[in-house]
Amino acid sequence: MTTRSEFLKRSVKLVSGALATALDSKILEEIRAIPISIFPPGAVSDFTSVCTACGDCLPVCPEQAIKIEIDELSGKLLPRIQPSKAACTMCQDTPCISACKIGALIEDQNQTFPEIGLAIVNKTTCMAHNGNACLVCYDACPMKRSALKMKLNRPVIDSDICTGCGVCEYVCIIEGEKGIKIEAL
Amino acid sequence: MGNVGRRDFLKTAAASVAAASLLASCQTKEGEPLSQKMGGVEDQLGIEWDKSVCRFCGTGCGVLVGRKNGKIVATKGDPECWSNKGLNCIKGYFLSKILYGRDRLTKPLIRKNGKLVESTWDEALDLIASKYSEILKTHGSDAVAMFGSGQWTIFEGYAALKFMKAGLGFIAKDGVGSNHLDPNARMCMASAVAAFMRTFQSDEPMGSYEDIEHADTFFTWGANMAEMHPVLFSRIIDTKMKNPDRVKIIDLGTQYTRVSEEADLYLEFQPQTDLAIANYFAHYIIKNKRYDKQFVEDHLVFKKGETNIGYGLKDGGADIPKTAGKMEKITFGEYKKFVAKYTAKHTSKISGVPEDKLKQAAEFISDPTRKVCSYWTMGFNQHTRGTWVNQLVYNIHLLTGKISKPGMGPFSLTGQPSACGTAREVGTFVHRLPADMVVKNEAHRKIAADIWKIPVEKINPKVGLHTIEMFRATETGRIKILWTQVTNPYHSMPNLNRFTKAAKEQDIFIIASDVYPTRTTEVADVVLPSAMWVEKEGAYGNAERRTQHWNKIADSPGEAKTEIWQMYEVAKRLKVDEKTTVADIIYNFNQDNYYEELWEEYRSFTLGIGKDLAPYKVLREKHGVVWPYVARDKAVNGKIDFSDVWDDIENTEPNGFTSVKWRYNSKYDPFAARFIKDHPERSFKDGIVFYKAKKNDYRATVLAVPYEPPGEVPDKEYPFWLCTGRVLEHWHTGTMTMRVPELRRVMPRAFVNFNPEDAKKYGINRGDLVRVTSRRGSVVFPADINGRAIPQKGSVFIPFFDESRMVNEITLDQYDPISKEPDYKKCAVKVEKV
Repeated sequence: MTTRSEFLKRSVKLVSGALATALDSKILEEIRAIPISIFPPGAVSDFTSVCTACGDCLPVCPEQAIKIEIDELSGKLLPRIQPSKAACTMCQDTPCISACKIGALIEDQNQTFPEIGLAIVNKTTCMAHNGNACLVCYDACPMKRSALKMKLNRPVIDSDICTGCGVCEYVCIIEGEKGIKIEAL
Repeated sequence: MGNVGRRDFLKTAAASVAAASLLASCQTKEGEPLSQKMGGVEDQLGIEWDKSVCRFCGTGCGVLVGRKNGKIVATKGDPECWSNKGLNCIKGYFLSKILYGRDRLTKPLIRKNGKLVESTWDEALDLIASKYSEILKTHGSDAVAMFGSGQWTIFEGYAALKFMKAGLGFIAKDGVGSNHLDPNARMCMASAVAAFMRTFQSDEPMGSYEDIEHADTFFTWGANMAEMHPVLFSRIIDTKMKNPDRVKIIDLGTQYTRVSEEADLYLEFQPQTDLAIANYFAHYIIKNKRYDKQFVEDHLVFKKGETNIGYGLKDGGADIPKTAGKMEKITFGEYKKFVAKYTAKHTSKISGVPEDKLKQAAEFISDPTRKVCSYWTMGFNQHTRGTWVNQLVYNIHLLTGKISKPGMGPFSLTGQPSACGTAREVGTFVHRLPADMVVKNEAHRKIAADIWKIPVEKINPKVGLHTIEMFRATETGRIKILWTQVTNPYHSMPNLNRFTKAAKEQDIFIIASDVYPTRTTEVADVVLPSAMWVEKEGAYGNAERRTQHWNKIADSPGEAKTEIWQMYEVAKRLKVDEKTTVADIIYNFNQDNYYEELWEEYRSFTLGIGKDLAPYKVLREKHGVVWPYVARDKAVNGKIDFSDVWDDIENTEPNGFTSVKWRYNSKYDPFAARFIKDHPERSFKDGIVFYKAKKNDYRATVLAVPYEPPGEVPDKEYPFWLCTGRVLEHWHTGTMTMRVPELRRVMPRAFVNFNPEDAKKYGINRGDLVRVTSRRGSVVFPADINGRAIPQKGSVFIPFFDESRMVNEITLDQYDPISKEPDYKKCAVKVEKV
């Protein structure tokens, strides 16, 4: 497993070197070497120890996007979201947070919707990045033109606005390695 | 690893913009061979590749088609095709899947007791032939119509033209062929054709897609290129990326689209007021002395058009004056005076565009240092004043002399893969013969009859019924046989209910040649299963005059057969006398060499007149050839000798040929060079000559026509404008793209797109069902708000691909009185939440 310092070093190198609106498969593979789950909206920073996997947040999700599964990093059974199977659609009243009675999911008064991840475009597999005009993720984004913009005919994510809801990953037309995917933060 | 590091890394890495050029891995010069091996060579995956053309829009992207075990398994953009340089779009990406929808038609069907039942080819063809014989012998050729397509291959279009205009005359009691042959291209670019002919006396653009890489200023007029011509838009974006400060995109439209989003300036105008805006630009150019004085003097003639020309709303065009197409000569001074009333203030009042935006755009278009290209498609063509508005943009380019030069020119985009190659060049229109000739002209009929080796009397001199009137005539019983090929009119006709009703109630024999069940096969009496795309040899001609050939690469399923075979078999069953059939007369080609012989006969129409097509053998070799494809020596081209002007032509090939990228410019076009040499009085410093405009002393026409309102405008009862069109994922009536699972999944149904303010006013949320009603009908659509396009306030947009909710049940069958092209972009509707 990559250590924290190695990871940071590489980030710095990348950040100061050639930057891109999207990352290629190789870098994404390295990032994904650390398997971090995407937890439901409002997950507290020590979610893996606070959450008891009671399952109260599951039935209230209108998309049934939350499933209790093994979280690879902690080895525990925990509620999490896999956007390629079912994505969060950012309900205004966040029923999952209201359902959580133990404080594992909490509302953030400063944000309109809690950040659950960040969409990253895969430069290697994204159709638009490879010259095949496509608008599928852009069209589906609940915050299009702000979180997901098309720049120079390619999808670009505004990381300050994107909540990582995962609708883009869900609709991406590419089979196998999707052209856009949510990375946990 | 902690959260902070990962978060920072991801956020920073993903934030900045440094996208690479999309065209990086392409040839630097057209014709340069790349590594791809064609035909009969397998790659490491066991896939055998061959060249073809995309089946969808008029961009005409070259595609490489991969076959494995007899099945087409992959397609990719062809980097050697200079139209798309290897680029593609989402539809092209899934292209191979259009062949393998589960409900492909594989057997002929005949309607018996109201139901379509499977039959044999012999039974179907015998039935069709007996119907033709009976109707032609009792009613004459006036009762027989064919509705074809800009998706016909060039071979098919030519075969259909001969079938209708040459063949039927040998059977019909009146002894003449039928001119009731129109393509669906009538609904697509007839206005562009009329404007080309009225301005330059020669159809199709002077420039090429290559202009995109040379230009620095792009005007898009009601053209959502990002969705409808995505590959060309990618090329524009690429040009902008290379020089972001200099390159400007100015978008003019009635809704905010993906193009508006990328544009430097967006002008949102009230429907139909493009007429006023174009006149304002002309006024601005003249007032600020931005016109090219020499160009005006040397190359232009000014004319005034007839006004108040009607909207084709009454059957038979009863509301259209006979003089609708008239143009009368005026002076430059009179023209100047005419456009002077289109001041910024007046134009802003009509169009709703703020004065400062109008001025900014006018500054860009008139700036003598800028290389300006204008692009348009259906926004202009499907317009009750479509011919006018096409011409008004030519006015701008002509006044400023920004035409026929690299990076400068007006460019009419097309919607279908062979609208140019088949419908326009072959001339499958009610008034046309091949190579811009017309049936009305005796000399033209003579040329055609000579090539076809038939008596000239067999060609009908009377113009046939154009699309709208053809379908209106199915209501009255005048048309008794209608054969539709590669098209779906009972989905795409405006004011659809009236025509579907006629098809069901009238005694009309409808034959539909198609590949999938459609709304048209639903009303047909005989359905003929057809081979599609690479299941047959073919050639398409795209918007930049590029002809592209492909080989038969796959087998067609079941008993599906090509349209050429279908027409041949019917013609074979039509007996002229004991010994001769119609097929003997019109399809007298050697079976082993059928396509080549057919091509070379058709090609002979085009030689020596500046529309010269490439020989069959060259087409098979090259990844598309732009016409005129001209040989230096008379011995090769057979008509004209260019050897004395050849050395002055740029872009000639070592083999003694050249493909003309900029017509009318003697630097690139041997015909212009030849003409100037032979007519020294028409020799000018810029080397440009409109050599086809003989009637106007070789001058292009600048037309003075006013703003006139559309045929139906919103009122209290029907307060919304309705505009219809396409979306990126689906093409036309969705018969192919709706059978690609991926495309269907991302865009499963049509929607009604609202401006967010209107939606709020009517309490409509995204996904709500909304009933959209016009004076013609009523259809329910789910609402879309803040979609990829945002209509302006007071207007809604609905795509037409969805056969389960057909917007054409509410559109209006109004048309441009000059081009006869219907206007699908403007009518009045009301909306209510269901």
